Amino acid sequence: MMDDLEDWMDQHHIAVVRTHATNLDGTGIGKHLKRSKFLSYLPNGHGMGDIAMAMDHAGSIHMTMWHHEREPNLGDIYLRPDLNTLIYDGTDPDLGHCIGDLTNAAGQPLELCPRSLLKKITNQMSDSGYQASCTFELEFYIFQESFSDLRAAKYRHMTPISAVQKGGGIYNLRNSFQVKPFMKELVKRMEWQGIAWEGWNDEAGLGQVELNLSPLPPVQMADTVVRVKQMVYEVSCDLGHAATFMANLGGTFGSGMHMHHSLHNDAGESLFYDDSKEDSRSELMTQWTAGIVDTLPGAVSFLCPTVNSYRRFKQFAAVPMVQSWGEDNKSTALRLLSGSAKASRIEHRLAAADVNPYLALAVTFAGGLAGVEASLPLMPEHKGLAWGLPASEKDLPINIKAAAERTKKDTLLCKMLGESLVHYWAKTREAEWLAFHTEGADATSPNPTLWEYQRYFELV
Amino acid sequence: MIVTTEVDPAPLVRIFAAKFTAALHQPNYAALMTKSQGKFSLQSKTDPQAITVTINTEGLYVSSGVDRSSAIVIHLNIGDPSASPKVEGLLRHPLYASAVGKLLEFPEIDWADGLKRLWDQYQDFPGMPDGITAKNTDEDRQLSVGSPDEPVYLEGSAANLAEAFSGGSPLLQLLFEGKLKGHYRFQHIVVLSDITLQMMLGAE
Repeated sequence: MMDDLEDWMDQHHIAVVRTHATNLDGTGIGKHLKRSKFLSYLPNGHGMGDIAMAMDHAGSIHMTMWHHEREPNLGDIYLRPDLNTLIYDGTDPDLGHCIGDLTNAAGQPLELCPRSLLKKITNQMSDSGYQASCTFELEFYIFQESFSDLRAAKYRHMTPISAVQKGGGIYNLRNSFQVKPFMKELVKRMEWQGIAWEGWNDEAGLGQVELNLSPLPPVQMADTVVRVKQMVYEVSCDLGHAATFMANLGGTFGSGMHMHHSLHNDAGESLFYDDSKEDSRSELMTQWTAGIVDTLPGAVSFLCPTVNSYRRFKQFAAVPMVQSWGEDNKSTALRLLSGSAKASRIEHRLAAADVNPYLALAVTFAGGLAGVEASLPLMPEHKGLAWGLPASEKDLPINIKAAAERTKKDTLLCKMLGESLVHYWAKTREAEWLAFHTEGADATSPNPTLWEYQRYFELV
Repeated sequence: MIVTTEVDPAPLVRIFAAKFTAALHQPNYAALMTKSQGKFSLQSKTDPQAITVTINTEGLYVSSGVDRSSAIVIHLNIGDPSASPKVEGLLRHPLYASAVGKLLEFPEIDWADGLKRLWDQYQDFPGMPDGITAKNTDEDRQLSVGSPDEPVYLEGSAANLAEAFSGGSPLLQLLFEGKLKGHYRFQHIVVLSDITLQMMLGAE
């Protein structure tokens, strides 16, 4: 095993390995290790201060919430490399990348490690005979200016990279042409790293792009997303532009991260499709959907993790506003596509672009599993457009504080994800709310504040 | 008199609602509040935070922002209560401004009473230390609650200890600012900061 690893590193001239884990806020954390040191640390990986997993976007340590896995006096946790994720950079000739899990000194995965949490949930799914295939649609904005230019200008007067004329709509090929040099570089690097993609297009906002990745098993998919997000940042830096996954920059169209997933058995047969049913939906798909819909209000804080995420919530702005599902309905929170065994899947349309993909998948699958375990009934399908509805409809929480309250009260999510994790997470969101209000942001501003740009623009 | 707030209250709304609620336990304060019926606003000098307080026969209501119909608007440094405020509307409503000024002088809390109350209410909170010892350096007076084995030890002036134990500021902030010092484990200070923050925000 070790010989194979060394041979692979020799073949690819790997001299340095960058380790990469993700904390709750989705921030990539890790070290650049000399190859010999990386190898000497295997299998347990290298130590790092536990504050790295208990830190917000601003780099402030979580000081008003405690979790039993944190070190009582700022000790070390470990980043245990998953050697299946080891790849070469492609751009930097002697650099390798390896994603890992956060563990304690005994090598046990930590509940506060999002990747380990997703593994726990997918293991439960495997125990029930469910394998998932999933993918994300990544939306982000690209600007002509560099990050340092925008920082210096306090994020005013940003020039979208594709603004042929004001407007331009969506799928606009002239806007796409403006974006092409950036995207060409991005997909070249993705391919060097073996990241499979399907397509990209100009999106509704000026300078906004959507990138579609090829389906993968959940943990691999989330690994891919964090890699691509890091890569978008690196390409931006190298080309002198700025790109952001902030959920909203003040215009009508925010950036989301739609998730598609389907379930199949070990033989690869769809568990969502049943051609004996009039609607082609299996009983499993119905119960699975019921669980996701039922836990939707509690899941919002995971899917919309920042203060800025909630600025997406506008009627008729392609963001779901109510607890709902519909067959091929892009205005509902869940869009079901039940037409064929091959394509039968659920598109979850709520997550913001600033979401942590491990948590997004974990909370979604936790809902699905809970629905099957409890044989939950599925609420009636929302037929028609799910925007501009009367007040009697079940609204989703549309601010970070209200969403955190709903998360804490969701007994199904507490059971499936672990009560201590859920409560810790909710407290981190309350801390985000408190920081927004008390650190200089104008909470009444209808547009993103400088506080949001300075906290999220480069880091989400 | 009851204290109510807007739906989804902002932090500053919650902080002042909690202060008014606690102060109402003092009989004299309730009488003072009854005499202060009207509407006033508090505007932070250092950031956009602002609240409006409406007092009528039904009670006291706190909401976000400056209401234009407020009789007076007090511009103050929220982080530094000792800094002089600027009062808009003082010349038109001098008596009301004086009454509000007294209303905002919240009753002092005895640090020892605060510590005892905190311990009684939160000693079973997950992650709490087995005990807390506090020393008032003004008077060289010490008080312990809970077990004497490896307690959290904090020392500082009576005012700063009272600030911590009554939820005036999160404990960690007082430690960062050097207003309190002590011996403690990081875990215990985080848990106590959580509790003091919740007290500050008026959590039930």
